Amino acid sequence: MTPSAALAHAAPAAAMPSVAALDDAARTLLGQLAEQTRRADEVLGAEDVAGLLALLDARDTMLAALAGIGAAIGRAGQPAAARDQLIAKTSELQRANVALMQRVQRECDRLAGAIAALDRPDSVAGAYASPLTTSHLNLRR
Amino acid sequence: MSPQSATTIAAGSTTFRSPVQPAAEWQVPALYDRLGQALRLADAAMAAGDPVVRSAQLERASSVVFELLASVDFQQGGELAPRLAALYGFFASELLVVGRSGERTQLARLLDMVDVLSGSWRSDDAMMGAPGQPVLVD
Repeated sequence: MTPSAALAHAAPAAAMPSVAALDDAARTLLGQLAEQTRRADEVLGAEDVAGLLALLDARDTMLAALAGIGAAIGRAGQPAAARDQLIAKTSELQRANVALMQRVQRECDRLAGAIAALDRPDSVAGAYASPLTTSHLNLRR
Repeated sequence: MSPQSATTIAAGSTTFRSPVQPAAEWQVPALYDRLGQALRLADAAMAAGDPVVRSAQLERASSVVFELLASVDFQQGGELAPRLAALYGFFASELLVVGRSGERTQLARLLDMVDVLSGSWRSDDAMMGAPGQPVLVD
């Protein structure tokens, strides 16, 4: 099931989807999210900007769909065992997201180190020479 | 300062070019200031339970992130440019998620990264915004 189809199942409607259908949609989405998170981690390492943005966009859509499904499951009721499985899957995804964030944090630290080591041009000369800015200078300070 | 050393540096065995367009480079510290300020105000609004201010500040933060993205020099910026752009893309994505989830811990992680990058741009450029110096205003 695609994320959009899952969201359609999860959206409030006159005919409430069955718990089993919601459960399927949630599992599908969690699996896709875990895969997207793993790929985002890889793409970040490969420095593929367009690929990363596409993945993050897809991840964002899926997180929205998952929130919709969670709300629908809450309304529909869910057997305890199935709910526990979903919680376990969600925890797994959260761990993957934490790993991704740690990866991003390390990349941020490396970039910061490289940027700090750059010998940059004279900022004041740049300020007065810049033709691009639409801001103005406050000389009263 | 030679023309070569103005944009590149040998760090160990690797030479990096500045990832930002030369004409926009002087604006970057001020953009990071605005981004950090917007994130802190959004966090305060979350703590106070004010969704209107939270949304406004997160939108403001997103705008600054896109300004930062526009400052990246993809043609002359060398290997740091796509990495910096990817990070900005991640920031923009996380801002959308935070706007929906309202999670302050997620916002705090983002703010930490912005502060780290902000500090790196100021390492040898403390004069931007210092008392007595011209500063950028909106």
